[in-house]
This record gives sequence, structure tokens and C-alpha cells, in this order.
Amino acid sequence: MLIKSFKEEFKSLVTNKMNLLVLFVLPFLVVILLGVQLSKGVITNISIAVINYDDSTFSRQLVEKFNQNEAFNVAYYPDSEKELEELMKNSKVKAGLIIPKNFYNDVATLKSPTVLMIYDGSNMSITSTAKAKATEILLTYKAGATIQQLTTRLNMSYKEAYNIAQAFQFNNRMMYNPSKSFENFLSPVLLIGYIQAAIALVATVSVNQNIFYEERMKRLGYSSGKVLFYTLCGSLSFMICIMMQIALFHVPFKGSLISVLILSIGLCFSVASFCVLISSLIKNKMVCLVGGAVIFIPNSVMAGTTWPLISMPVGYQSFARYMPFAHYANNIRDIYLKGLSLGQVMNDFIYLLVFGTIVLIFNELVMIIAECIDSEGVADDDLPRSIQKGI
Amino acid sequence: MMIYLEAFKREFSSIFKYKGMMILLFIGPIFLTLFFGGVYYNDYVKDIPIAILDEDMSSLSNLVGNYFLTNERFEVANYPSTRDELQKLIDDGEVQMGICIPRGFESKVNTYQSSQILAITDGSNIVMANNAIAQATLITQSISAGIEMKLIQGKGVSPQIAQNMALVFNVGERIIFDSKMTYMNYLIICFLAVFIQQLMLSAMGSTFIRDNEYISSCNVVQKVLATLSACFVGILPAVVICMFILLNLFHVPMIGNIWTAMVLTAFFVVALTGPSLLIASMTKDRVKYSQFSFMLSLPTFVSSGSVWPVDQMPKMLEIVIRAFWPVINYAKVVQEVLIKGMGFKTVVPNILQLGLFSIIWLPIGVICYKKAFKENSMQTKLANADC
Repeated sequence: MLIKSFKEEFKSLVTNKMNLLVLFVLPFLVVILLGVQLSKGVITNISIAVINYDDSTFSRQLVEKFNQNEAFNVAYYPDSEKELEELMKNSKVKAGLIIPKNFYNDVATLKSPTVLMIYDGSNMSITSTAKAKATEILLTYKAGATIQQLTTRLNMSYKEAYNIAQAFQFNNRMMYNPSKSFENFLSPVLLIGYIQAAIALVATVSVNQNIFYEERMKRLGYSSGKVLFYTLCGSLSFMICIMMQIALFHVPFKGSLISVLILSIGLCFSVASFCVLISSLIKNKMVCLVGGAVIFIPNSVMAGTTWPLISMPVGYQSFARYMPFAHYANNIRDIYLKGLSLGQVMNDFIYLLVFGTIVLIFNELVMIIAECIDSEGVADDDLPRSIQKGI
Repeated sequence: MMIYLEAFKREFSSIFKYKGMMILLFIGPIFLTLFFGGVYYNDYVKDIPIAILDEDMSSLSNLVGNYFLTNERFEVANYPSTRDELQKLIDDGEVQMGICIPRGFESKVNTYQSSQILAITDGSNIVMANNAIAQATLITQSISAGIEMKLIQGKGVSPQIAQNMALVFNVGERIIFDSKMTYMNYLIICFLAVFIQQLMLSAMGSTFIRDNEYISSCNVVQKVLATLSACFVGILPAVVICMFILLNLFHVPMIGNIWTAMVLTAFFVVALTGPSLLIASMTKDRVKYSQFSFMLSLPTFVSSGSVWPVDQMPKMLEIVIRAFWPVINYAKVVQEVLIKGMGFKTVVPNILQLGLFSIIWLPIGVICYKKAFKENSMQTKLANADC
């Protein structure tokens, strides 16, 4: 029955173009979309506005530092803060620099003037880049000004002044993603989340309940055939897309493809088992589909791939611990960026296998219990009758 | 007009007849908003696990360590004794950042020889890494300024002048519209936009396929618009409740004009109708339609400018996206309208683009729909006749 069920799915894949589209074509298109869209990797040319109330050579040089930095593009010179805020409100600029009146004189006479940076907080990805770069520019400029003061006022040598101005330096070494590329960070996890959703959307409508109830003794074989088929198809889709992502868009990949394959088999097995369970319990295919979508599509957000798990409410953290995708996604990113070895992901692979096996057995148990309760068998649209009628 | 009204009445009442439609339009947006909103309920990334390698073991290095220890963003999870040990902790994902204070740190600083503190950060999750670096920079800056002042004082300068020399100018910072820069305010409205897209697509598609005989029989455009209006009116109460939840439960600071957002939403759902008809005519089956439309959620969200800014995309890709899907003119735009109070005048180009999109895709959708379902009904009739 396992082989028969497997063949049935294979035939369905060939005849039902939608399955082929969902499992292979759309993920491939998403590889291209993500690759092209995030090809720049880092954010550059952020529009900023400058109000220079001072207009001295010193302040103009500071503005020039911003203009020369590839992260910024000084696009506007408004006359007032109100005008600057209006520009920001209408998304013409994402940041503003305000240099106060008598800035240079105040620096020279040690009055500690304040240079103000204003950021548009509504776009986190742009603002975090702008903040980091602007701080870097301003602190470097400030250190230069301090050194100048120390050398002229206290007759220090440049080196001594430098060592005071930079009493100690704070250096950061970013590992695994030194360019802070959004492509390296986002594209692997978005892609795998997408393929997981694809497996869920085809596997949840895979069970033909007529066969399922006619041949009860072979039910486990029938379910296993479906699970096996979608495990293989899903793994194949993962491997093709991941290889395309690496080859076409040069997303850094430090690990081994074997680790990816093993882990993908684990994920596909657990997802396919869960979806076949849904498909076995609920006859109405629309309900199955919506159930699969609601359970699996939000996984990418909930697994801590972008917003870390430690920052989520406790309930979400506990749920994510049992979710197959959480045992897959972060590992995959670590295989890409850190080169995680097969040994390091083995525990999660075992978890995924155990999860899938338990669900498969649970599926059979539920069916047996359902038969015991209702000796006449599950009617045509029994479990979801009301919902089916509705949809 | 009579046909439109009649069709509207029919489709609107069918929402209450079919529980699935009621779930989609009434419960769907609220459930998804609560579910996704919960993920981002906490504003900050707190308790980032870090390790401190103190090779100096001086009072100054101890002071630096204490600053990190008492900061609420960090949790000092480990004190490795060697750099290799620190490296291993980062490699194994045990800590997000390692702070390395080198031997001779205090003596170098006190003898006017610049020293350095090195932070080694796991950059595989940029959100965590950026938060950790930003906070660590703030901590080290304040320590550095204090030391700088003491060193200048050591040259026989008064404390006030030393302070003014160390702080030759200050760098002030103001973040407007979302001062905390939270993920919630950044993403949740864009998510809501995609929920509206997905649920409207599902509701309209279900109706277009289920009632294909009625809709494709005659006056297709009016019936299509009536279906669209019925679904839109159906989803509106849930959207209003979602806004209430965002404002009162998740405290999303919405200062914008709600009517501008509504106009954008109305234009957006009209723009969705063409693609919905097209998908319905290609699939002709509700399961297949739903499979395809669910698969659109991620690529359309990613390409809407919500995650990666539109102006940072390759121009060619932006043109292709604008030509084939309307959410690029809606999700991020409506977020900016609500969070920043972006004016109506600024969103007029987006409204025009949504209008243009509808003008092009709605007729294409209607033609394909008519063709697909007329052929379909002909085939059914022939099959029945054969029987």
C-alpha cells in the first residue's frame, strides 16, 4: 500500500500542475525574487536633510563627511526644523542633521555645543543603518576636534592628544556576516519558510478519504506513502532552491550540503506527517488547506528567525520549542553562515524524526479511536460537516 | 445599477450563509492580528547573552564588566578565561557577543597610551547583533568620556574645562514617529495589509468560483464589482476592530488620518480584483485557487517594501513588481500614513498607480474569467447532454 500510495501521489504530481507549481516552480521564482531584490545586501544612499545654522568651514566639512559616506545622500537643505520634519513626514528624507548657530565658535571656546541627529523611527532597517553610520561619522569628527583642542591649548603632541581623545577604542568584529548583509541574513530563512508552506499546502489535501476508509488495514501504509512522497519532494525542492541560491546569488555557504539535506529530510518528514494527519482527520479539503496555512505559514515569524525568541512572550517561546521549523530554520542559517557541522545539528534532526514518527502513529491511533466511537465509520463529511457546509 | 445592487445583496447575504466566508472576513483579520502582534509584544531585545573575557583583572576592567552586568539589555552568561574559549562560546551560539578586555588595559589608559576593548559579535542574526552593538557602544562611550576627562585633568586642567574639552561637542539624537524603533510599529501594519490582501483574495476567489454560473452569465463587471463590494463591506468591521486592538492592546502610535488609510484600502481591494479573477479563471477550483493565493503571501509581502525599502531594490525589479502586484503601493504606504501622519497629497501618486493597475488588470481579469467559465459551463452542458 505504501508503494501504491506513493505512486498515486507521483501520478497526481504529474497530472496536477498546481502541485508542481506550488512545490517547485514558485519556490524557484522566490529564489530569484529574493536574490535580485536583496542583491545590494546593505542599505546605501539614505536621503538626509541638513540644516546648517553655522555655515562655517568646520560645519561644512562635517556635512561633506556625510555626503562622502556611501550610506548617505544629502538631498535637502531645509531652512527650519519644521520644514525638516515635514520632509521626514512625507518620506522625502529618513534622517536630518542640525548644526547649531555658532557651532565652530562654541567648539573653539569650549562651550560644548550639541549637534542634533533626527531619525525617522518608522522604518527600522533604514534607521538602524543611518544611526550606526551617523554615529561613526560624528564620533570620528568629534575625536578630531578634541585632538585639535588638546594640541593647541595644552601644547600636546598629536600622539599624546590622540591617546587621550581615544583613551580606549571600542572595536567590533562582526563574525559570520561581516558586511551585515540583509541578503545573507534574510534570504535563506525566508526561502525555507516558503518551501515549508508549499509542502503544507499540497500535503494537507493529499488524502483520499474513500480509499482511507475502504482499506482500513492498509491505512498506515497509505499514510506513510504520502508522507514519504512529500518528504522526498520537499527535500528535493529544498535542495534545488538552496543550491540555486548559492550558485546564482552567491549567498555565502560555509557548511555542507549533506547537513542541509539531512536536516531538510527531517523537516519535510515532520511537516508531511502533520499535514497528512490534518488531511486524514478532516475530509473537507478547503478546511484542511486553511488549517495547514494557518499552522505553517506564520512559522517563519514565530521560529525566532528575525525577531529573536528570547524577546517573545513566554507562551510563544514554549510553543516554538516544539515547532519543527524552529529546529530547522536557525540551524540552516548557521549552516550557511557559520558552517555548522552535521554532528552539531544531529539532535535537531533526531527531534524532527521523532516528531514525525509520533504524529504518524498518532494519526493511526486517532483513526482507530474514531472507528470505535463510530462503528459505522466516519460519514462522508462527518467531522467538518458544519464547516464544510459553510465553506 | 439595479443589477449591481441585486448582486451586492446576493453576495453580501451569502457571507452569512457560508460559515467559511464569515470566518475569513470576520474572524480572520482579528485572529491574525492578535497572533502576529503577540510575537512583537515586547519592545526590546532584552537579556542578550554575552560573555566577558577580562584578561586585565584591574579595577578599570572590573568597572567595564560591571557596566555590562548591570545593563538590562545584557545577561552576562559566561566569563571565559581564554580567547579560544570565548570563540567557542560564540561558535556554539551560547552567547551573542563576547567582550574582550586585553591585558594591560588599565595601565595603558592611565599612562596615556590608547588601548582597546574588542567586541566579537555573532552577526548571523542582524537584529540581535545590531541591538547588542548599539548598546555596547553606548556603554563604552560613557566610560570613555569619563576616562578622557580624568586624563585631561591629570594635565593640570580644571574639572570643568576638562569636561568641556572631552565633550568638545555633544551629539544629540531624536527619533521621531517611533522613538523606541520597535518591530511592532515597524511591521504590524504591513502585516495587517497583507492579511487584508490574503483574506480578500480568498473571499473573492471563493465567490468567483462558487457562483461562476451566476457571475459569468451576463453583466459580469457589475457582478464582479458587487462581489468585491460585498467582501469589502464584510471585512471592514473586523479591520476596524484590528485597528482598535493595535491602538489599545499593542499601543501602536497611530497619528495619521484614518480616512486617507481607508481611501488607500478601497483602491487596493479594487486593484486586487483583477488578479483574483485571473487566478480564479486559471485554476477554476477553490482548492487550487487557495493553494496559489496562499503562496502569494510571502513574495508579495517581501516585495512590498515592508522589509527591504523599495528605493534599495533594483529599478527594473521595482517596475516589474509594480506592474504585476498592487501591494507595493499599499502596505508600507498605509503604515507611513498611520504611523507618521503622511498627508493625502503625498499618497496621491500611490492611489493613481492603484487606479491604473485596476484599469489594466480588471478588464483582463473579466475577459479571462468570462472565457474560462463560459467554456467550463459549455463543457458541463455538453457532458450532461452526452449522458
